[in-house]
Amino acid sequence: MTVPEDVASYPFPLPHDTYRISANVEEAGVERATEAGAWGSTMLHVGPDHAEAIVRRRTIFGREPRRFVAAPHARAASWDAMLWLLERMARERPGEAQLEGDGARRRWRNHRLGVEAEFVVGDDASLPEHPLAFAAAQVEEDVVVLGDRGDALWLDAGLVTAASVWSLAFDAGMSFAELHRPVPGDEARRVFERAERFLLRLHPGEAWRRLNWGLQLDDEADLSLDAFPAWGPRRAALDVVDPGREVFLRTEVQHLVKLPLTGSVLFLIGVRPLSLGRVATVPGWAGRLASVLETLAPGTSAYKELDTLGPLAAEWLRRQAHAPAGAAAT
Amino acid sequence: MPGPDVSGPPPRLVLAVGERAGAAAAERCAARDRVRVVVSADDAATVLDAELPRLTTGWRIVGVGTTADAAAVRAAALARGALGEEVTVWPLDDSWRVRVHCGVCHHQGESRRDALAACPACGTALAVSDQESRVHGAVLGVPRA
Amino acid sequence: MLELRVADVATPCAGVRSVTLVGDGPLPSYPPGAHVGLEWAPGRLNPYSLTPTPSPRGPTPRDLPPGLDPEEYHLSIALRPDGEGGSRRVHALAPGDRVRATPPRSSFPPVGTAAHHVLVAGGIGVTPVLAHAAWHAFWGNSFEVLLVQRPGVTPHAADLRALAGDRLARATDRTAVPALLDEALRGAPWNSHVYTCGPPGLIAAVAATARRAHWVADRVHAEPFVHAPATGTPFTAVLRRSGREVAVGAGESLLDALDRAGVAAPRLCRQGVCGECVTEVAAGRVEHRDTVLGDDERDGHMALCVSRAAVGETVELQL
Repeated sequence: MTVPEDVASYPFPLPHDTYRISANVEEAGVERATEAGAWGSTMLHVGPDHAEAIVRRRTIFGREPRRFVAAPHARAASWDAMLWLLERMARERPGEAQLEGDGARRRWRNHRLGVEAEFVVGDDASLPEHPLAFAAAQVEEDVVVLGDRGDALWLDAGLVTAASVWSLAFDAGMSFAELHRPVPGDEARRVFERAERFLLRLHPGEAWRRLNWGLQLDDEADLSLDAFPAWGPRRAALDVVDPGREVFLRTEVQHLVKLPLTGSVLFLIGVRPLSLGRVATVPGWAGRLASVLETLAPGTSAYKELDTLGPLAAEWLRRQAHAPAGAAAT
Repeated sequence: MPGPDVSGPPPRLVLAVGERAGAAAAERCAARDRVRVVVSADDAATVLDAELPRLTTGWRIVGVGTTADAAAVRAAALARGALGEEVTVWPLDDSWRVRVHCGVCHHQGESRRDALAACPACGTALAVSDQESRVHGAVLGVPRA
Repeated sequence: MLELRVADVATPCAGVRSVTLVGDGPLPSYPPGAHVGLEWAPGRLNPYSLTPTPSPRGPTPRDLPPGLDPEEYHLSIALRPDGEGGSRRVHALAPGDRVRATPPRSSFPPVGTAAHHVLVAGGIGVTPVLAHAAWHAFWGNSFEVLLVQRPGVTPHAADLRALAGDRLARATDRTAVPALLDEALRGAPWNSHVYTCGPPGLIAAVAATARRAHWVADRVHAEPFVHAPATGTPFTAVLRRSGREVAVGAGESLLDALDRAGVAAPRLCRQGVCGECVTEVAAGRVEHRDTVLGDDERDGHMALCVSRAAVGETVELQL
């Protein structure tokens, strides 16, 4: 039986039967095998629904301009981020995207999206929009630029349309420590302090990644506070009939890049929802996810808003393990 | 503005919101401080834009007013490049009212701390959280279903 | 490590050698004020600041951000006859020679939020300052340069003049330095930052002047190019892996003592800044002098280059 592509390339985030918040960073661009296949040889994800994902975030950003922020002082860092993203895309998909020219004038071609643009590096007027917004429109990932100054990181710019219960417009301008203030407990706080020191110490050009995860209803990636009216009431009511189809594991593939020209940190968040039904097709995944949900520390469970959804998902996953083969397919 | 007088403490630009704050500021300030009184916290940005180009590095900024107003002055100063260490606030009340930033529509209004409020702009029910943004001078209003 | 080839050498002024290094194709980009660790003997690296590519139109072509996709790396190195040998080795390089270097490291970047940048250079400290000036000129940032110069021995003075124009002020006489600093720092517009690269005396003078003008410490930045000695009370380091004991004298750093004993330990900046030499400590209290470790990391780690055992303690290292 062939494994469907979304499962085969899924970055399943739970290597153990228990989970606690940790920095869990590893080198970026390194392929990692899973029980169902492998993921991670590229940093920018291009899945079967790539074009739809790009259109979807364009629509959100077009409707709500506050999904984009850029401090005036983030100009150089935004160009730095843009060049890094376009070069990365061209390197990972040479047949589909090219960045040409080595002087100030460069030509970008993204055949998959039908985008062609010529611009002058550092000249904002040569682009149809802000460099970071331009680059963000070429990739599926949400992009955030963190400036490195005064021995801390600061949220200087970003385009985010799939935040998980946070809002870019509120978080703009915050320090890394302020951004992570809602984390549960001193241990988690220390994890984020160490993570910030780690990021501050990276050398220009280095790229790392980590996985984050949660559960959500439906496969809509945009769980921002901004979009709360669309998803909040349903989450509160929790009227789930078929968890296999309605509850999704939300894995966030987060890349952390120390940008080469400015030393700012580019933070990329790729959201990969997978239905519990799909998770259950890989018995190792179903078992570990159920076990993690059953043993989650209360603070972590509350932080991830899993107090109700977690037990519900765990129970469903356990039931599938005892159900006749084929019952879990969706 | 001349360069700072190096012999004493740093000179301060004191921005007071409202008459009561102006009186409180006048009482606490030294001759070397510059005191400006504005009617509303929304005017802080305009006054800073006019004042800061006349100042040198070394000056401090003080926001005087209700907790919410003083925080708004601090936010305006931080947005113009002040470092945290250079800005202080003299709140006039015991901080039970704060500026609340709606997580859904980003409107800012005032509310009691630890309260439930409805956003006056979009009507969403908000839980007033303790997550504070110094650059907004506001705490997050988390939408509740 | 980058495998590089010497494309050109020059002597911009007495005692200073400029070296142009190339690789196969464009080299990694770098932020202003960055350096590379140049390997001058196996495993021995010295940090040297990257300066912008000179061109007939000035030190950098105005049409490309300085540091982006460079074809060449440019270093200018002052000869230190009494040094450990790194600068002597660089001064002996000839076109065609092969050298190895770390990719660029950033330890002295400009602060993007500043409304104005005051750059202070003394002697060979002009190298990162030149990179900062080129950066600000390209991005249209407000800046000025104060150059403390002894006649005839500052390289790149002409490059700086070309970049900064009338934003360059110079002191050629030591007695003129305090007034130059005082005027610049007391009159600096709101939201300025000051960056100094030069000898410890100049860095201290800038910091003192800034403090007198009520600048907060976070606005004052410096990159020393003379390593402050990491000296103190003698102590013993026990190396867990070999069981060896290394005596560290009063006048040397732990890293110096390890070198003397022939123990390989990573390092780069030797100022407690880069974190390259951070090593696990199995036992013993440490007097931390670095600026790289966070409080929670200090429990169980130390920077070999500047930190020492607390007085009366022996440290046991995972080496």
